[in-house]
Amino acid sequence: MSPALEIQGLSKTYRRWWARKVVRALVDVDLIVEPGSIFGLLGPNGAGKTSLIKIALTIAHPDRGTVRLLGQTTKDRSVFRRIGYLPESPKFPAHLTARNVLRLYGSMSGRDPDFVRREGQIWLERVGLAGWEKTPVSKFSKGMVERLAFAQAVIHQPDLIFLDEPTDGLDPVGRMDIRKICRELADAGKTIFINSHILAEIETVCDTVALMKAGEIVDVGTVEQFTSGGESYEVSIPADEPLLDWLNGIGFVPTLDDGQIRVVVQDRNSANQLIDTLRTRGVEIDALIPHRRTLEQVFLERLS
Amino acid sequence: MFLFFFVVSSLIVGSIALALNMDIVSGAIQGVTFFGEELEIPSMTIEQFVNAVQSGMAMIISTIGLFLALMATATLFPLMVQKGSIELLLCRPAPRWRLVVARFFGGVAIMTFNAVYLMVGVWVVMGIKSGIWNTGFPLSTILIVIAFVFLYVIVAALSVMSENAAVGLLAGYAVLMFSPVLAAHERITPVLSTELYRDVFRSLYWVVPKIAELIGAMRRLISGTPMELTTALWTSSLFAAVCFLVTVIYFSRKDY
Repeated sequence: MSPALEIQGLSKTYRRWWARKVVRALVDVDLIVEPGSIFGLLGPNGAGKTSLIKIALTIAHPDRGTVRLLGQTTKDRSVFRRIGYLPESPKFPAHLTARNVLRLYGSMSGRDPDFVRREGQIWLERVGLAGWEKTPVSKFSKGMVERLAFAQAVIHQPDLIFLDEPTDGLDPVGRMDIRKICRELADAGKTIFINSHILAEIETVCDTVALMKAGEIVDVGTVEQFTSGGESYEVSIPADEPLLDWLNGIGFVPTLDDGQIRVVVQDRNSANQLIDTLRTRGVEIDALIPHRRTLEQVFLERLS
Repeated sequence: MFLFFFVVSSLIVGSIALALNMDIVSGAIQGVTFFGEELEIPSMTIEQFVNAVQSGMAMIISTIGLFLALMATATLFPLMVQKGSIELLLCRPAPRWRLVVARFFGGVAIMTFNAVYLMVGVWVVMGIKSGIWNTGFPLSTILIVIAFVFLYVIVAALSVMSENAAVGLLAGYAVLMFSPVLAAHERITPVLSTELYRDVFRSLYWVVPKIAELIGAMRRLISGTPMELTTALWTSSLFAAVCFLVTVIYFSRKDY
């Protein structure tokens, strides 16, 4: 089975001749996204994430390199019938109603009017816009526009869906809805490519993550690969001066904080060993807190 | 936009149908009232009167109408290429050139429908009231639409390139207003001070769409006098074709 997205040697430099400004947006990027996965692209502002998506979708043109979507080159535009895209800050013709927006973009993606009408109603309900079908989008809030934009990206049942900051402007419930739908779509075999700087979101929903910096892919891996290693455990016990000295004496590094002694150990064995030692001395354990590495920590370590 | 034109056109046709009354005796106009007010008009035949009214209408539509039509359609391209909107179009199976062509002819279709509705509406109403059926009047709609296409192609090109409706609109208006000056090139060129100025002025006449000639041809078509439009049409068409081609190529290559 061919990859959902295959990028080879993609480079793009933006030049503004009047300002003599040169911005290297992408530098020799190689990337493969497997079908049926949720792929997250992470990177600081200006890393080239949106440029990568735009070039993949032929919204911008590369200087060098190739892009294959669902095994086909982008020169064959029929592949775009199977592609969905939610751009950052989408704008719809203000006079169109929510229903007509879906009809317009669904039809433009090659679906027949009956299919679009039927799916449009389903998706409007799915994204929480039931009852707003006949309302012009000019009256929609930012969150509602974002929900509608999500619906237009999936109404034609695409196999590969690009989402650029999909939860921008959504409330926590809306974010959860979108995450849930993404997971369902992936379970149904669709591939989802998410571009976001909300790390917790990526960590929650994505199977695979790529880190991008200054136009280059720095690392690619699963969320588990990125966050595994570097776990630690924090043991919390009641404050006691002799105990503090004793712990220092046997090689631990305790800290006194808010009436509690806290000892951080780097692995599970050390944590069990410490607990056994403390219990033999009759010390009560107040808390054992496992600390897992977050994607945010990885992001800051690798990209800052 | 479409509704605005439709309402204005309906008001004009309705006003002529309901408020214009002609008193005709033996083929001559004896008196005309409009909204109950008697109009002072010189002695003329009904045919001359209808011809004068239709010529006046055609002149108003070809100047003010073109002015308003350009204003109403100028935002079509900037709205299409604005960030957040263009991405939704370019990620579809349709190639880029088709988007430009569809937008352009969408604007032309709106203008054409309204121009036909207005001109044919006025023609039918005047025909029923007077019994004079001057076919030159509805046929002159073709010239209005052609003039609009020549101007709109400029508006479209500059709107796509600048992503700003005002820039395209100003360019369109400049050609519309400057065209009578260029049309008088045979009288103006000899009085220019240097040969360079004369060459530039003559070149401009040949390059820029000849809107004034088209408007003049409308009057001749309505009055039934002979007209020669071949040169004006082919030179303007060539300009429009090149301008449109440049727009399509620019749009197809642009990074959004």
